[in-house]
Amino acid sequence: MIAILSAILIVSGCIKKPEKPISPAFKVDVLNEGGTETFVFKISAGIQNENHDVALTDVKGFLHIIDGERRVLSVPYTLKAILPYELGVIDLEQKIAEKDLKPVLDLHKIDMADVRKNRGTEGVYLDEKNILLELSSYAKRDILDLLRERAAMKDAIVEKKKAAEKQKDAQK
Amino acid sequence: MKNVNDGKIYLAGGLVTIVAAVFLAVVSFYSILVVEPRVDRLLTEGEKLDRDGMDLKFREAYLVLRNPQLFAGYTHFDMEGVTVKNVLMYFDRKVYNGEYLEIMGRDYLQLLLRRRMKGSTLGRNTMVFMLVVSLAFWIAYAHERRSVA
Repeated sequence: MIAILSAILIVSGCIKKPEKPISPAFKVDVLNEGGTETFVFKISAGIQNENHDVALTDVKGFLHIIDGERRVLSVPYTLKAILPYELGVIDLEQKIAEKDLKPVLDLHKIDMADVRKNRGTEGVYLDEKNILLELSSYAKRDILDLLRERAAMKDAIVEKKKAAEKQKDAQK
Repeated sequence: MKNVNDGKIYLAGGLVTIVAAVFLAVVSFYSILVVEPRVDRLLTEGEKLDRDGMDLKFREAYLVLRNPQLFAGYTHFDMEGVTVKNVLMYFDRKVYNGEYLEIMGRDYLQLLLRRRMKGSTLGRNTMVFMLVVSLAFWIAYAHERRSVA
């Protein structure tokens, strides 16, 4: 009986962790900054929170572009909060050295010379076998507790504003 | 032929169904008599107030509704229930961001209230069923006792 109850408690405390990124894609832009060629790597993906009553906050991790077991490129991301059923959007942009970009382009059979000629690439969808989502850290918050906390914060701000306005009126 | 005494089975059946009926009654009538009228009152009062007052009332109503009724949870949605999921996502984000809940939101909150009411109605009807089944067990038990005596 105790084992069954313990199992129920354990299962009910578990949450569904996002495992795969949704619609991952990248794009490259080539900029000319003061005569120097600069590559800008943009990556976007979604992280789905499938839980109905748990929000994921302070979500940190990496998007790894992989080729088999080898990590070709790792991009860190941070998301403040993914509420229940929400799709958290990772939309990052970073300057990248040619030597770091080349393996990513080679993986997708994109010629560097074409990238230079066209001043970048179109959006390239990443196949699920070439992308890995790593969730390094996150906090689980019960949605009701989180919403009550945010509501209390808002009320405090509104009260402060009203008090400030009253003071202004009194001074007039 | 050996006379089989099913008295214990009927007794167990009668007790289990009574306990189930009591549980269902507590859960369902708490919602019907306490929670649902409170939410309805908040929504009705809210629409008569100014922007700040309406926001407070609607937000309080949402926080009550965000905790689902036991038999109308927010985990599984049929075609009709998918709208509820979207409503939850919409209001969660609004309250999280500290945005004002306005009169347009009332209909969506009513949707959540109706889901809760469906759950409590289901619980109440199941309680009635359990009571009927319990009564059948008790009648059978009484009959068994008389036969044995």
